[in-house]
Amino acid sequence: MAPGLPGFSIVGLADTALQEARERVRGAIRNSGYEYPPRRITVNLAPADLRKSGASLDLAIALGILVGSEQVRANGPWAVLGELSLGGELRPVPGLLPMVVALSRRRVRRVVVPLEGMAEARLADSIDVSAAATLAEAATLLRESRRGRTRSRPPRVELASNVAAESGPDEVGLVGGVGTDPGPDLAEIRGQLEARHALELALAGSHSMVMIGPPGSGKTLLARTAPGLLPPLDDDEARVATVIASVSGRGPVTGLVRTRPFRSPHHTISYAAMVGGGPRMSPGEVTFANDGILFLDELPEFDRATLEALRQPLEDGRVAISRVGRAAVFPSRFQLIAAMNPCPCGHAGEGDGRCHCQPGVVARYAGRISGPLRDRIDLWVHMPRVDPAEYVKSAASEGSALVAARIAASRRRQMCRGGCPNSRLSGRALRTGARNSTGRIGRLERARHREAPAGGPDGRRSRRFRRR
Amino acid sequence: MLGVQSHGPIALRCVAENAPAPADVTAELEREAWVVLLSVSGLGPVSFGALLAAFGSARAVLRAATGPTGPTRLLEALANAASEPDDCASGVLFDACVRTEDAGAAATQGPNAGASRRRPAIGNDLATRICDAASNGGRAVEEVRALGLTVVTLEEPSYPDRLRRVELPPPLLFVRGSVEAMRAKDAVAVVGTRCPTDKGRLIAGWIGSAVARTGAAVVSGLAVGIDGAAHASVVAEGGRTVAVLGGGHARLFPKAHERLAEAIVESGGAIVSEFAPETSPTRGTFPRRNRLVSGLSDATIVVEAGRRSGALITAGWALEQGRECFLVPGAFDSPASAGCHAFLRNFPGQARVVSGIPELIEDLGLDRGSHGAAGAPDTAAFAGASRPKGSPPASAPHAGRAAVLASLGPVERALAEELARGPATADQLALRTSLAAAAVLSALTLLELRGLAASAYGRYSPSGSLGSWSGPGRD
Repeated sequence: MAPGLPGFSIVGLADTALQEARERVRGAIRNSGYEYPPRRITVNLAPADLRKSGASLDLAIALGILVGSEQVRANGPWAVLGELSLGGELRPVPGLLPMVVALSRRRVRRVVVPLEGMAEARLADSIDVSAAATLAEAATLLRESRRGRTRSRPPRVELASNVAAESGPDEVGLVGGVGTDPGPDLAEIRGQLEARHALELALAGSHSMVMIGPPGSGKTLLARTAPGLLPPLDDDEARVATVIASVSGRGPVTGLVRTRPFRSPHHTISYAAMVGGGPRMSPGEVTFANDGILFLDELPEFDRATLEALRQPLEDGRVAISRVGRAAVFPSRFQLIAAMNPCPCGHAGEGDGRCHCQPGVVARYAGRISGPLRDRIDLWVHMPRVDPAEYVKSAASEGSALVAARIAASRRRQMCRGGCPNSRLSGRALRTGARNSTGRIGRLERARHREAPAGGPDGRRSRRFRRR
Repeated sequence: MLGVQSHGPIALRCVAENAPAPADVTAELEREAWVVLLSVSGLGPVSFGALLAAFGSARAVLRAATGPTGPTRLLEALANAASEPDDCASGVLFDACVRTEDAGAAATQGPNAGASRRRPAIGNDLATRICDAASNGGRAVEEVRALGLTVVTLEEPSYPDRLRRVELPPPLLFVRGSVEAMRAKDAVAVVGTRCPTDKGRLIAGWIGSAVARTGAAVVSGLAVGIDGAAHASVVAEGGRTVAVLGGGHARLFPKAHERLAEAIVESGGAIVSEFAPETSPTRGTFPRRNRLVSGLSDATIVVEAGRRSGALITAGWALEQGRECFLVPGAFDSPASAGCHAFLRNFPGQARVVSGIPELIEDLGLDRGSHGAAGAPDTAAFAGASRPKGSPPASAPHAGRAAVLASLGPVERALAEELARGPATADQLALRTSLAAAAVLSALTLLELRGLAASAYGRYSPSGSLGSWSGPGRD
């Protein structure tokens, strides 16, 4: 603060939302009963060459002004986060959890957060979190001594959320809590022996899988049973998922996210929405699906560039995004499940001569999935149409609970054996395992040569499936 | 000499005046000259025949066609030759061309008969192109050589007689594989739609294997669908099959059948085309190809055809060429058989119905038994091993398949037997055999590895010995 004509400027490459903080801070200070100092105020956001955005610095700016004009005293170093309304109320901001985690990593010991973000922020370790509902309360907190009570009042939030009722099917698993929709039960699907077996293999080993079949053969239905077949996230996975949920800003996070994400974007999705980026460097679907499933229905209809962008995360489990002056690496270890028709008319191979697509046309349609992407997909399964009349008298199909138990057991075995799911086994691990079953490997090799006599990199992949 | 550009030794060979050479070399050179001449676009068989008649041999034509005065010499000779009827070395071709005229007008007239004959339309443009070909003709011959093709001209004895009898037989045939396959004692064409039903594919395989077992050759068009199924079943049976292309050899269509084409050649069959190697197949070339398919066979069988299928053109050609024509009646309301039904209705008395495989063999006259060599069934062949070419096929098909089935485990056997009745999905097979899912899936993989089942789009169909016709009494 300096003498001179009254003014308020924020420097440090602040974006529009931050610049508007001036109005918010002024209003909040006045409405909280404090006096807005008629001085020349300059707020510097360091480092000077990094763009800053968002409204999470409102509270810090306001308290900085109050402390600087000696209306409020702070008892030691504090971190403060939150957006201010004109009336002085403190509002939550997206990405609270990662911010608090980052602060705790820098050995900051105390932080004030908005009340609604309290539950989320408390998920971080090694830091004392205090909540405030208004600017005045926050100021009161600052005066408290270090050894005194560090919580103003017990949190008023309920942990069992009913926020899930508001979120649509696409956001299963994004907001925390219990009771998210596990999708249809496997028993509702009649027949489709091959596809069910393939799905079980895929979920057990985190393999990527594509289902090919005519319209109405049950591809989407089968994919949607997947969330009910997977075990919930373990602690490490849950923490990452909660951070991602927090950053997405879709809703307040009230607890550790435990359900596996199941994302099914429409094929008109843009590149940035799929991979991440955009002006705010927000994560894309591949990150939201981290440790979960990314289901792409109508795979050839997706934009080609968007599909190509999946190659890196499929291989590494991470996606690197760079914008002007900024770069970030987001986790994206998802399991890809996709569905497509075999040809443009959708009826190839149905056996009744309905498909009149020429072989060249079919090949071109299949070619919309590029070779390199095809290489990274482990399982290709055909789903022919099932005749319902044939199934009226048959025994019931297996239900989700039974299959889920098998999948969970297999996953545990794989983690014990290799420390990671089968799909991520290294070449050396595969070869060691393969030595114990040379007969089966020999048969596989013969089969591979029948299909692709020219050879190829499929050897590793075809070996992985034997190691259930 | 003679002002020839040396575009390669072949052109020179054709054109140069060389010392008397042994007969086979002469024949080879003559064949090359035919290739060169017929590669000229716009030169049809009639004009070609006239040129041959005027000069005596193709090499003579090429010799005359060199140099700046080439075109003039050609046209002069043609004009002269028109007044000398019937006195030519290439009588066969010229006769074939002339036969298309009204029979009355041909031989009864005098020296002016040529004027009333179909005058070959060779103008200056065409003459110039012929002269160009004479100088650059090495390229056409090189293409043929590079692809390893055998050229069969109308004049040679190895030209199939059946084809010679059609109206305006193609003067040149480019053959990959065995030329003898085209001259099998009995030849049957099996054709059909490119989008068959599963049952239609199965029936095509049955007919193909049943015919191959009698020792007859099977002719078809290498198209996807019925043609491919027929070819494949003959190859699996160890018989001979002839595939007629809709374009040149360098543009094999469809690409999906490249491996099948190789297998056909390896098993003693042939790939035949009347077009120059670099000719691309177009909508216009396929009806012409169909003429050859029926022309190379004694009878044509249409397995499935939609209302507008090209297979019906082949059937029509068969009737025109005076050959037998059979059609398989499909389900009453099946659109894939609508063409067959319509054809049977439109040609009562000429087009015949296929009422069963043994009945078909009998109607074709192939059940004479001369090829049914007695002896132990050749089970090794059924298991997919290659058989020596030309050896008679096993006479007891039941025994072969039974041997294969006996070598399977109980689960695989149950599945194989169910599969032999027709294509099905894994679900259907599991339902019908009441076997456990896991057992069915692994058994199907085993059957696939042994070549007894083929999977496409999730449906499994019998292949190899499982897909061949298994003797009287079935379906």
